[in-house]
Amino acid sequence: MSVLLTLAWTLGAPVEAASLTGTIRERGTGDPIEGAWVQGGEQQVFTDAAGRFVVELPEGPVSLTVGSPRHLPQQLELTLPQPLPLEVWLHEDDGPLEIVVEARRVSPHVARHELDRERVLRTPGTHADPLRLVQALPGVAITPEYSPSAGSLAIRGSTPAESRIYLDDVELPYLYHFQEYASVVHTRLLDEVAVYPSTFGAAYGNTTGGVVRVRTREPDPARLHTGANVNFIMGGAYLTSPVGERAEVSASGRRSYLDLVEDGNDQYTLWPVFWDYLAQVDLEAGVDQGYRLAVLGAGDAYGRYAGDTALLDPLEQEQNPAFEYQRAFHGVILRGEQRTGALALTTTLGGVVDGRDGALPAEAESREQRYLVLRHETLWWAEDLDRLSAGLDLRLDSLERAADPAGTHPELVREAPMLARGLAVSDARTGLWLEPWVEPRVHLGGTRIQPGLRGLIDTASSSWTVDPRLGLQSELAADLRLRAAVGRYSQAPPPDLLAAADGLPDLGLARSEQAALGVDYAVAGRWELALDLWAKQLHDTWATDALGAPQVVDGEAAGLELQSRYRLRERFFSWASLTLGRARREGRTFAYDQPLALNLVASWEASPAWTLGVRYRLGSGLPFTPVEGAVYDGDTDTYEAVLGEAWSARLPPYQKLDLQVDRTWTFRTWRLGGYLALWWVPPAGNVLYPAYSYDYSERAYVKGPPLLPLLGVHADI
Amino acid sequence: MRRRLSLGLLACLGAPPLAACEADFAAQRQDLDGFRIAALGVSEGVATAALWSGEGLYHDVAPELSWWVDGEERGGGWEVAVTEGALVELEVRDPDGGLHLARLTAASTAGLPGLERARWTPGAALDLATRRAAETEPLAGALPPGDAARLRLTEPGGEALAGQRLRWMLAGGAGTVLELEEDAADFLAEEVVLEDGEVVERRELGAGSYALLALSLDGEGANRWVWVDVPVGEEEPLWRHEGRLLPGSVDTGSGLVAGTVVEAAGLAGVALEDLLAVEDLSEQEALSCAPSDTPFRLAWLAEGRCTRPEILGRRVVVTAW
Repeated sequence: MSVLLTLAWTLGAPVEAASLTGTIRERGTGDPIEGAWVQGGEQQVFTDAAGRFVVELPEGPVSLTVGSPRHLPQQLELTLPQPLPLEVWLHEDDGPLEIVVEARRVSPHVARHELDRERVLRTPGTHADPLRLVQALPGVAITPEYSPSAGSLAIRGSTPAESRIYLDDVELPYLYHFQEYASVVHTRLLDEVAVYPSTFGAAYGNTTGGVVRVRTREPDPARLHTGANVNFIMGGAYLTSPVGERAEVSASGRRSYLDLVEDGNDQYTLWPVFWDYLAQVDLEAGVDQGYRLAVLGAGDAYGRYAGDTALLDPLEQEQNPAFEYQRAFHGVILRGEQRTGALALTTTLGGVVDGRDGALPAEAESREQRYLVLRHETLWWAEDLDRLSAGLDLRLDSLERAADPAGTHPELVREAPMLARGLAVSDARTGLWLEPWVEPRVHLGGTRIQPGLRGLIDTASSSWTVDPRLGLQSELAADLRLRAAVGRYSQAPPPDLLAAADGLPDLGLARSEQAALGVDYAVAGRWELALDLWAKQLHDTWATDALGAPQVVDGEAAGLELQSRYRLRERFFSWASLTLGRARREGRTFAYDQPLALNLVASWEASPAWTLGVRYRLGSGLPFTPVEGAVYDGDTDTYEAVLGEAWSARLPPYQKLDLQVDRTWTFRTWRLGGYLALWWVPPAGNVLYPAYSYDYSERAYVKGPPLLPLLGVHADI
Repeated sequence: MRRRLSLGLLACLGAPPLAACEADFAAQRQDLDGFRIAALGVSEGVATAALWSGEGLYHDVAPELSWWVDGEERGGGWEVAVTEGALVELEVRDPDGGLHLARLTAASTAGLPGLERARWTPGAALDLATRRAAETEPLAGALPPGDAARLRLTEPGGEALAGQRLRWMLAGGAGTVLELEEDAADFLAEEVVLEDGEVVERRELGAGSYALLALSLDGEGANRWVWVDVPVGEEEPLWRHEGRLLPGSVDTGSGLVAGTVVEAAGLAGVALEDLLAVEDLSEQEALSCAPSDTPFRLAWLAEGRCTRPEILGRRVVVTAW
């Protein structure tokens, strides 16, 4: 009682007084509420850090009001004296979400699209996985879910291989399990997902495409959080907890479970399974000094028949070889941050082992890549310079590959490219990428000018370059901002491509010149508009043909992106993005050219418990190389396709409508949430990929499920 | 037979749907429907092809053939001389103008494969294990309705085929053929629909004439094939020519039968009348499409070497075995 915060007595103590004690907690978390007020008549007291209070009131019936700035008030009718301490549970008042007005946000990168909390929480069709929303951002191609290209991040006319994905500044080998079913990081531990589609600053490089940056969340230092989630494909759990005064731990794990109940079917000899984990320790070493150690990993595996069972006779089906695939990566990240006066230092050290194996009964390939990365960034705030950013990225890469194919297996081109091409490979190579950068930032009136230089030394290809970049952001009015950037971007060839057996050993750096111009405009913080125009030229980049053979190509891409976000009375929220663009390689359309991508989202919070959402996607169909005929192979009684002009045909436009209802049940110390999502894809817009009859005389489109309900639940304690 | 895969919902959701959501095609590999190069092979140093006309075991219009051997153009004609290991390429223009391409590694074979027939009575289950366990009886004539024919290819002398893969193709797509072993298959005069490997629908097609092309491959170009008749229905006198079963009553003891080619309905397209057992080829008339110093083969009509107009009304001598 000694710590009781009694702030106000407005009247003298009554003659017949009773002492009422109690605790006020938040419903749903059980957290004690500090600073909550208890008012009886004209007497008001506030709770201490443990949520406790004591108030002296006249004996007999009394009316109390309890509330806090973050919680809904509650009226209590009591008769004093009370034999036991009172326990009061208050509902959190969600109030308006933390709203980020893009036009007011200052980013070191002129072109930046971010998945903020508002978009993540209010967009249906994500299966509670915000990383699935990356394709909803402007400039990112929309690919049909569960198609072979699902989850491929083709950003502003670049191939997925031309972009990089970072988790806490360490590159992830891949972002999604299988065809974009789920991301490889538990979403409860995510803090920020940002996409720099092109013309980003000097802090990022070694890519001619875009950068996806994922940051994990710092745990709540106050208390333990835990939760579990399950849907009909996978289950998972997470935990974050303080440890002592200066440390917090967090951990998560997920696993699909259908393989436990089904061994296989006509297509799969081993049912697909995936898993991921992330564990980290955050240590606060001082007021401005902190460290983080994280371990993470993810894996995917399945076995399928190598041949297309629909085209095989029963005997052949029985003899159809099984192809077993597995890929997994494990990583460790050590990160330190220190701020001293006008200096902020961040150093990240990471190591990743990424292994992939594909095996037929008598043939196999394996690939293991290990990389060690070091990233250091120094930020210096100077009076007349505004800010200077300088840093170094270093990556030591080691790759080992082996394959002993007995023939070609073009059907395995995505999963086992060496077996697909029938190339015997046994090689090991190492390489070092060294990338220093410097990027000062100055203000001239309302204009922020950010020139930069980034170097790239690649020992594997014996190449080096220095890329200049320049970004400008000008506040034309309070909510009107103009953005512009130009720069050169270089990318070292992946080590696989430098192999003599199946690559291009003389390959050098790919280069790209990029320019972008954008404007942001906000109307009273309710309606925000952003318009971006961009263009890029690509030189000496690489592409693969239908069988996976690499080729050196030049290309260009240009486009326009429009974003809109609108809110009404904090309960209704909508956002839209439209991308119009063209991308070409060697003067022709290529695999990831998508002239139109449209996303529309609307969400209505009907009550604190119910939220309804709708999302519509429309994307031009991606190009593919048509088959124009076939040659009968008398040796095997099979047909070999005669391909037409590369990427000269296009799949029908993809459309998808998602509806989602979210319901939250709030109990005293935990919350239970559930969602029912329904997707509908018009049959004509549900094409996953083209398929051909045995002799290629007929082409049909393989289509995904047009109507699909999904149910998921999660509990948070 | 039709095979279709149901949309594997969970497979589509949980994994790469490379084969999970397969489309259903009208063209099935086992059905000889439209014009098609059904087989390509080399026999005794001569490359030749089996062209399916799209109509039946006959051609009314001759297709145009062009040959290349190791990249060198060898002109048209029905057959071309090749050397062992040569790359043989064939271009065929069908009567409707369609272009068909094929290639083969030349590997000579000798003699037609032999054929053994048996019959058995299928039940509801048609899976491999059930069929392998079925008891069979030799089949000499027509197949009783409701029964299935078991067809087994052998070496010319009757020995078991070794190191060969067989392809069974249904003339006109009529009936169902289910592979049993590497050298044997079952024929049913039924339309069978398989879904994900399970029989979901069966429909009797009734009595009539059915035929198959049985192609034996070693994977390296040594191909042999034989046309196989499977008449279904009432017993009638039949005599055997290669894999064919032809109506009529004739003494085949001499190994040669002379007959006059007449037009007939059905897949066969022609029949032989005025059958007569002969000792030599003297009864055979000269034909522009085929040599007269060797017995005529009905396979030449089925494969496009001769057209029906070229042989209708002509007297030919064929082997009976």
